[in-house]
Amino acid sequence: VASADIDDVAQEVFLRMLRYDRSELVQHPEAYLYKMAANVAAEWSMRSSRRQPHAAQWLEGLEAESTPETEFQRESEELDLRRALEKLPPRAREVLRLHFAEGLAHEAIAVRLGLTRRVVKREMIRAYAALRSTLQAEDFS
Amino acid sequence: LADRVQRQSRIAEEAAEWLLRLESGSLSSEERAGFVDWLRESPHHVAEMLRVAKLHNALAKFGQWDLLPAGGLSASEDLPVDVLRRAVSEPAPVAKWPWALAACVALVAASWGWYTWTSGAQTIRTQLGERREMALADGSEVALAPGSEIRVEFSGTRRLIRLGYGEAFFHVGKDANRPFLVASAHAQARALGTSFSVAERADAAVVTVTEGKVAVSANTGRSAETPGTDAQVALSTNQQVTVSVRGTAPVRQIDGRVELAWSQGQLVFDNETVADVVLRFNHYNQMKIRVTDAALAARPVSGVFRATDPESFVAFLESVAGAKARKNGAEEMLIESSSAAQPEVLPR
Repeated sequence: VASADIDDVAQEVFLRMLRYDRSELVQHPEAYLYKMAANVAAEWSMRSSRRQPHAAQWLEGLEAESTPETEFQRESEELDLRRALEKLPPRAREVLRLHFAEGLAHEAIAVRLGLTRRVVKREMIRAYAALRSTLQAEDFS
Repeated sequence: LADRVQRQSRIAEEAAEWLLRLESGSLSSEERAGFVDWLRESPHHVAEMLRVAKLHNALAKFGQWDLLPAGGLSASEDLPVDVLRRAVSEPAPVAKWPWALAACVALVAASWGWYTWTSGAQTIRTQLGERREMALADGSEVALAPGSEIRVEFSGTRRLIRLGYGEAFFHVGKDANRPFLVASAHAQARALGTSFSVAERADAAVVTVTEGKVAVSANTGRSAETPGTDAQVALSTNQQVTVSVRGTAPVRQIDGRVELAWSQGQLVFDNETVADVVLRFNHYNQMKIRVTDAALAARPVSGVFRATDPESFVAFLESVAGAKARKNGAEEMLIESSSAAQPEVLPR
């Protein structure tokens, strides 16, 4: 059984994007990106379910929101994220909290924390990168 | 290895920067081109973009902010180094594919909403007494009834119209690759190339097709991308259906030209009471008609009128029903019975 993770999906999406008309992609790049990723994932799930009867059942579990398995998975992902957030520098964490928990835009965060907009943006970008590198190992464990 | 980690971290920052730019509003076409070129530079960029978007969704759904240590600027700021060291010391384990699929499915489901509010959606509204017709970006045409609001959310994969309130008539341009979807509080309608209207009422939606075929389903609150997997009704030319919280009524045969005459600026009445007709006229016009005679208000009338010409209807009442019209200021027209009997004021 071929192991397919986000890297494999991304590889295929990358190839499709190269084949696709550039001016068409430029219209709605993010929509194409997600649509292609969804298509690739769906195609592979079909192919795989032919080989592996379990995969189809597993997919169904995914779609039904409230099965114990997905609930458990969601909780464990939330816990991973919480641990990663705890490792962030306090200021970066505060910027994220103000943005996601209080819904503040970058300007408002800058005012609240007495920073420039540039610094807030920089802080956000670094926070994402730091979270990504913390979560990388846990992502697929 | 240190190089690899540094490179990985740089790509993550680039992806995060794109994400913030996408999130903060509509990108210029040069910026979008830059984003496409960046994605087409390397599969690592694509992978990182998908992961960062997944992280973004997880942060948006995260519900434990209160449990985190309070944000202050006093604590040490040297943690990122530690974070990097951890990443180096723990090689990524071999992925099992269902996890990746979970990531992608969740990602796509959640990012759809994210996309719709970052792309430039357009809201079109009409006041009472105002009717608007316009061409949409895809060549489709929309006629908006008075007191209505739609939100146009087109993307590369679908043409979505959200009907907030009121009624809208659509003449849909053909585009087999992008279904035309109309979502209202009660119903969802899906078409490929056709003419139909959706009217959102207080507790139901009425979908009327004048040409072609439309699939209608109740709006169950799920994404409009996949309407009608359950309880779907197929409407064709000159058919109408009412969808309410209580369910979907049987399909009715109607005369589409009569039902949707308003979209041509006409009001067509077939044996309707004067009170109902007045209500329809008042919907379109600043000048309101008020009928003070109950017998006249209950009287059935038939005819075709221009919606913006209530005077012709008033003249019709005067000649056919023997009513007397009297202007009451600039914005009200009182219709009284010509008989000497005491006029009875209709409850409003």
